[in-house]
Amino acid sequence: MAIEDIKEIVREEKEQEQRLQEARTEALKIIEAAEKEAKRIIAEESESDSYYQRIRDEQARITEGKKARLIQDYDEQIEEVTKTAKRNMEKTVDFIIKQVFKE
Amino acid sequence: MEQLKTRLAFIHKTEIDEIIENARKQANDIIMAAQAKAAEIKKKETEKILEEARIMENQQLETERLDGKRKLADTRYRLADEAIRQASDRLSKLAEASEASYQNSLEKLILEAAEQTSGQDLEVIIHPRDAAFIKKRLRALEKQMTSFKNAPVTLRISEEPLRAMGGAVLRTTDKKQIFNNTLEARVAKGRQDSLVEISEILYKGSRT
Repeated sequence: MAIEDIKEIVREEKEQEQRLQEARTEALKIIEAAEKEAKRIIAEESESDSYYQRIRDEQARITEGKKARLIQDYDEQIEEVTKTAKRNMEKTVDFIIKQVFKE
Repeated sequence: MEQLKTRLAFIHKTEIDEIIENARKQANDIIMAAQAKAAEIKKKETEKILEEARIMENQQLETERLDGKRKLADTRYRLADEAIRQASDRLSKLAEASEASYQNSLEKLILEAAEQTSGQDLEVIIHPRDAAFIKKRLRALEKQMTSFKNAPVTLRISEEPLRAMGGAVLRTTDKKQIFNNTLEARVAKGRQDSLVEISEILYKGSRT
């Protein structure tokens, strides 16, 4: 192998080493970018207020619906009890008077 | 020489590709791990919110339930009161009319009071409206009292007027014993003793 050839190979080797270094730098950049993106993904999820607010609002809406149904149910019971009592009032008064004069 | 250069170039190219490929793979793993972590955060936060909402809902529903039960109980109480009020009104009219049925009941109330009083010298407090009738029946009442007490009984009408719609108060003349058998007292007693029955009649047919 001639001296010139050896010099050529050494030069080539240096160039390749330079390319390798560039590749390593590129690799680091890729990983750094991924880490940055990872942080963004996690932060976005942790601070996803609108999503959680939607859930809270939805739950509050469900609760309000249940409360309204419960109130309505009691209102209906009160109405029914009142109607029944009015229907039976005369009999009840008779019974009370009978009790008053019961020996 | 060219062959050697080509071979060296191939080796280096392979190494560079490998470095970049590994970096991409690592980056992909990082992103996937972040996504998994984000999903976990979302899941936990959602579960926390749902649990908080469930607790709050239970508290609010319990409050409404108690309020509903209280209103229902108030209504039932108010309606029972109304029945008592109407009964009292009717009793008052009966007493005021002083018909035979009331007079008969008044005698029974006086006799019952005597049964509950252990003395023999008795006086009866009655409404002035009833005085004329009871005066006529005084001896007959004494006789019946003597009979069931198995001892001589004297009965007189008190000068003190009865401050009630009807019925009577019986007491010993020494005022050591007293028995309140006014219509008001009977209504109150009826309410106390028969509230369950009153409610059963008043709410018969109701689903609650």
